[in-house]
Amino acid sequence: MSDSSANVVLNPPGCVAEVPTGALLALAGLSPGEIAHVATLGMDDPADNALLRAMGLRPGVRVRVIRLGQPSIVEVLGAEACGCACASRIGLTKELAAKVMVVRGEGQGVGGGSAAR
Amino acid sequence: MSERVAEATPSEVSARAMPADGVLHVPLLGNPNTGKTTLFNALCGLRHKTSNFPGTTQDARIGTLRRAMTGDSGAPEIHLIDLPGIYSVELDQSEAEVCRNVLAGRLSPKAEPFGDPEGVCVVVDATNLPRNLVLVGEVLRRRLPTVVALNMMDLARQQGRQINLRTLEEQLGCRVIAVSARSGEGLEELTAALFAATVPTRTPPGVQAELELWADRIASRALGASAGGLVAESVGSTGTAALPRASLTDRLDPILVSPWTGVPIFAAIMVGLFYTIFSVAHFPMDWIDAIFAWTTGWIESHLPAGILRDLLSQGVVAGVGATVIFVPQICLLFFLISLLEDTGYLARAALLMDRVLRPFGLPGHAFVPLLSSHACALPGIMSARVIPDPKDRLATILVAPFMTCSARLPVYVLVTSLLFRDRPLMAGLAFVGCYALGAGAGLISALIARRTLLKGKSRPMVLELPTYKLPSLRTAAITTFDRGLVFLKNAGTNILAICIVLWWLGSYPRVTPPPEAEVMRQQAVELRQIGEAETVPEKKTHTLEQAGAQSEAAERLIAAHAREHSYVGRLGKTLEPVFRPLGYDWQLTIGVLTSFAAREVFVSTMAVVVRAGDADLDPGDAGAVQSVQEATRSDGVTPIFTTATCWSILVYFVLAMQCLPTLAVTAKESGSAKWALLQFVWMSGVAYVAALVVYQALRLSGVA
Amino acid sequence: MNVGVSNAVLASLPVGDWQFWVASVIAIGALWVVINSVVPSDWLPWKSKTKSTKASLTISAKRGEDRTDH
Repeated sequence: MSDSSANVVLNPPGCVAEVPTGALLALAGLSPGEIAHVATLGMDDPADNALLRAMGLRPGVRVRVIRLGQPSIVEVLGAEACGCACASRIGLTKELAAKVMVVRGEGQGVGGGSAAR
Repeated sequence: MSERVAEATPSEVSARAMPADGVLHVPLLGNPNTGKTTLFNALCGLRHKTSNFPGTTQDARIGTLRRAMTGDSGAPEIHLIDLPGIYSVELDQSEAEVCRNVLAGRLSPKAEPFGDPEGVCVVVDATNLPRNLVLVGEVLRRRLPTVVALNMMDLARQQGRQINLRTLEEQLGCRVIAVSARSGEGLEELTAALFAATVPTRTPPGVQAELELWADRIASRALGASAGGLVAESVGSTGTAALPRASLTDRLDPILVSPWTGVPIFAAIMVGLFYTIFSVAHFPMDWIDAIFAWTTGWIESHLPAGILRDLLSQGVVAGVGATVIFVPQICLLFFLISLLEDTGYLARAALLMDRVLRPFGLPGHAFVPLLSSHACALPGIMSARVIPDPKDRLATILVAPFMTCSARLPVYVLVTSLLFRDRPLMAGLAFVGCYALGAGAGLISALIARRTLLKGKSRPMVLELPTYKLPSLRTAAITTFDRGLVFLKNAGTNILAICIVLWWLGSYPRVTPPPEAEVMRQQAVELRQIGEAETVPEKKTHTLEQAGAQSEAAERLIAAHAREHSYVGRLGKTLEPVFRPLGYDWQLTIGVLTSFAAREVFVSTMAVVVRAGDADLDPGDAGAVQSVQEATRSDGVTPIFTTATCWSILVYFVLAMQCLPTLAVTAKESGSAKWALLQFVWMSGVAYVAALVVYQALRLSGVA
Repeated sequence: MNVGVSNAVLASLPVGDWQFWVASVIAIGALWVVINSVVPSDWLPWKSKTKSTKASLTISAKRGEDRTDH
């Protein structure tokens, strides 16, 4: 994936929407302080999925659980190893948290393969 | 990757030619919580006006930016159009649709000419680049001359982020200016860049998923990431920067948002808010009262007697006074709420209150408007703008007047002190009951509305919780000024208008004073003569006082008689059958009708009608209030305020829509007067039925 | 309504006083303001109800505006 323009730095490795392999569980099933990768968004209405994505909760980003229950709070840490270190905090109802599927773990590009989608 | 480098095509160049009105129209976009409003205020200051987007309920602020160097060629002025904050232009929500339409030239604010914008400015939060860059990419796709304002640089530096601006500019293909709206850094550079904006030299990918990756890549390059590392020194072993303030927010948020701890904190903050408003607003309100009393006195003594003088003192001054008296409360309310919102607390409170309000079809955001409506529904309805979803916003606007506002209090006091003469505890409970009845009726009405007219899925409650920060006094001041002005223009014209109309209807047709009044006047004259001739001092004072009292009584009788035979009075008598089942006679009917201008007018109107005092009666005037309470009906025996009638009046005033200015604001904020009509019909209907049931039930069970 | 009553009403309106007419005109103006702000525009024949947006040429306005083909 290189650009046509000659003087552009090559992609730093790992900066793609990779989700490590692992069991899918709902965001609501994690414990406070855990870090996980967002895998899929399971809202009934695709427009709701689009909203969550636009707010930063999209496949491949890491999140850290701050609070569970009603309401839940997660910190969005940004895509894997992008070094972006962007932290934004999102509050959501526990019903929504039950529909965001994640994979545990914070490791870098586990196994090198882009996994479940 | 479908990114390409493109030169500006000839048609694009010509699109940048001077627009018809010589002014560049530049929309301002950005994610929520990026400091877009602060930037707008910093750039334009008070040089802005508030308009709205036709066909929507979104308001539009249009600010003016002047070119710094007058020698340069080109347009001298930019009209900066503040658009609602959005996460993505492609979302299926009304705010995003407004942004799309403005960017495409299909929508312009009311005050602006039609047409495509000549440029765009996107505000980006430097502490959250990847997500913000997605919006930038969506805008760049549209190939308008674009400038990116990288805001919150001060915060980013504090967090140890170093952002390579040149990399950003090169990768995005447009100018990127580092600014800090709070400190004023970079503003001149930004203004210059906006005047010199050019079409982007690169085009981002068209597919949303690719765009997200594109944004990630650029962000990581700009932040100096290489081989997965970080430039910032405070990198933790997990690869995430340990943000210095993160731990405080991490500990604070769960406390504020959990029901057990959050609700008491919320209650304390709200009580503090309203207590501050009521106690501080007291002073300017007293001054305003004094000024208007003085003005009335001046008019009456300096202008020749006549109809126009009466119109001026009883119609115009009363009308303007009735508006202006609200201003301190409203300004304070908006000021404090703006400060509170700036700190970031309100987002947490919205999350907390969501579970309380959602069963009624309302989002957590609705609590600010509903709470504010307890002071006055006007600013409450105006603050409903914070609610993102239009249906939710409309539902909130429709039911906000159910919340007991401060104007209803004099009526509550009048009636509860009568019902519970020596039992203050019961009176207090009744008071609380009134508040609860109002709030309950409002919430249930919202539920009904959401199930019938405003059917539709509620927007999911997902909310960004911004970092805590010290609130900006400047933003709060500008917001207060803005909203205060809107209130004055809106409510001012309406309250003034209806006061004039009511004055006219209450003054005509003229009638000759009743013969008894003439007799009383004669008596007063005679008493005065006796008193002057009297030599014994105590007797003299006593007689003169009697003369004075008799004279006043004569005046009151004349005033009451005049009111009774005026159009207002006749209307009251005509409508009496309508209100008789509720236990009201024609005098109370007049009171209920005239309260339509402003609820607190009820007490003073009743005072005139029952000859207890003047039209400018102070509701705290115990003697006159007592006279009102003891006044009788036409038969001369039954009191107007029987127990059953009292309860009926109380319930009616809790639930009825009796505020014309509120209707006008509803019409404006909801975009159509039909919602105001619905509000009026629904609330009046609910109030009528409830008062009817209460009165008849009490009568049937033997209560007088 | 018999003539006697209406005569009496007219007599009690100070029609000879110019100030009355000025005040009444002002009151009518005020009434107009009130009606204008509260009654729905559909019922008011004089209110312009046009929405100043262009007609959208696409069915759903979502993707129509990538202006790469200007």
